[in-house]
This record gives sequence, structure tokens and C-alpha cells, in this order.
Amino acid sequence: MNYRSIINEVLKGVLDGLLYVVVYFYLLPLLLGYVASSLGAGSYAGNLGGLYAPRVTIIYIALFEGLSVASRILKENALSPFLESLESLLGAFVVLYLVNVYMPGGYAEASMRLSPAEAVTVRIGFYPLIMIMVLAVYLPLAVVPYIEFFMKER
Amino acid sequence: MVSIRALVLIAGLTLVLVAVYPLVSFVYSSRSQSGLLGVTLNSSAPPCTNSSVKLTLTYEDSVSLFSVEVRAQVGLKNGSAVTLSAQRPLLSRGQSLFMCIPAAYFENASYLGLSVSGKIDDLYPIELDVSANLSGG
Repeated sequence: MNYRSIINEVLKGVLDGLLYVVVYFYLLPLLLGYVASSLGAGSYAGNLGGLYAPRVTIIYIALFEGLSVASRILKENALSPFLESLESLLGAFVVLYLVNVYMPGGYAEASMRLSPAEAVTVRIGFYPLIMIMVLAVYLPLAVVPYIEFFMKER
Repeated sequence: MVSIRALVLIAGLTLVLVAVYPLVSFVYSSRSQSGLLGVTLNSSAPPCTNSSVKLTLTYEDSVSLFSVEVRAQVGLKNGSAVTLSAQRPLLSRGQSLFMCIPAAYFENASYLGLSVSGKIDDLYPIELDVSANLSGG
């Protein structure tokens, strides 16, 4: 691989990493915040930066970018599917973290006081949906890079 | 040629959509009508005896509720509490369950609590708690 193609792959990796950052740092918090607030379970997070401590944000961005760039550069290497797989698992981790921020323990809770003496509380467990999401989307996406790599090698 | 990754993603997202459907229709249905449950209290209505009050809960949502458990708690003025419960494996729209609460409990009640738990379409757990403090405040 010459310098030109390495720079090419690095740029592609940076773009891949940016895509992950946009999806996991902006689109998912927006979507989950919207779902939680439309159910009446907590206020809608207008300030996304407030969800993460700055050092956590920097670590996540660095991990997504680093893994994307490394998997692009090492695409002929057996390490590449492992790095791509790690990216999917990191995505699953971010989703689980976000769910826990908006719906602690996988439950969305809404309380309402009808009068000073009367109260109503509703709790809905969303964790089956999160489990299905992890099992049906994130885990298969973590396995697919290995299948693709070995099919290519054959 | 469609890549394996795209196929896996489409299959996974389809599964997620199928799983989210009952939840969305449950929330939509409960919001688009008067509510989730209809609660009525009738004194000496059959099959309850003359000395008890019939508490009837009618389920109003279009998505069925499985493993339903209803607990009615009456807090008495002497500090003790009485809990009555009823179970149903399934509640569909329009179906109801009832329990007979001795009227004497209401005469000495300081607190009333109603708790309904179940699983939306046998998948998503839900708990609903209604409480009323009868001694004011």
C-alpha cells in the first residue's frame, strides 16, 4: 500500500468515524429523548452536550475515529474484522448508556398528580425492545465483518 | 450485489419494527381514547354481598394485556393495611375483572391504592399505580 492509498483510506476512515459519531451522539439521543418526552417520561434533552462529560465525549470520538481509521488501513489484515466488530459493540454500549440516561433500568416512568391527595404513576419496561435491538442488529453487525473477511479470503 | 451487512441490517431492523409495533399501538390507542382502564365502584352489586363494594376494572386498550395482576390496598385509620388481589392471564379490550371489597374497610379507610401490572402483548412490562389519600393532604 503506497502513501497515496494510505491517505485515501485514512480519510475514508475519518468519514466512517464521523458517521458513527453523528449517529450515536446526535441522532440517537435526539430520537430517544423524543420518545421519552412524548411518553411523558422526562423532559426532552435540548442540550445534547449535557448528556456526556466532555472527557467521555472525547474518548468516544477518539475510539470511533481510531477504530474506523485502523480498520480501513488494516483492511487486508485479519485484525480488520475485529476492529469493525469492536465498533459495533461500542455502538451497542453507547445505546445502552443512552437508554439508561433516559430510562433508568430500561423503564420509562411518568407520574401525574390529579389533586394534592391523588396520584397516578405509569411505568413501562422498554428493556425487551433494547434486548431485541442488541441481539438483532448490533450482535449480527459485530459478527458480519468476520464472515465477510473469511469469504473474501476464500 | 447486496452485501451481507445490508441484508443483516435490513433483517435486524425488520425484527425491531415488528417488536416495536405492539408498544406503539398500545401508546397510540391509550392516548387517542379516554384512557387505559375504566374503574367503577358499585355497592352491593352481584356477585358481591350486601356488605361489600364491587370494584370493576374494564380494559380499554386495543393491544391485549397478559399476566394481569390487580392489587387494591386499603390503608386503615389504625395504621394497618388490607390488600386484595385478582389475576387474569389475559385482558383484551372490553374485558373486565372485579373484586369484592368489604364496605367496612371503606368506612375506616385513610388511604386507597390500586395497582395494575401486566405485560403489553406479553412482551413489555407495565405497572400502573393510582393512589388516593383520604385523610387529606
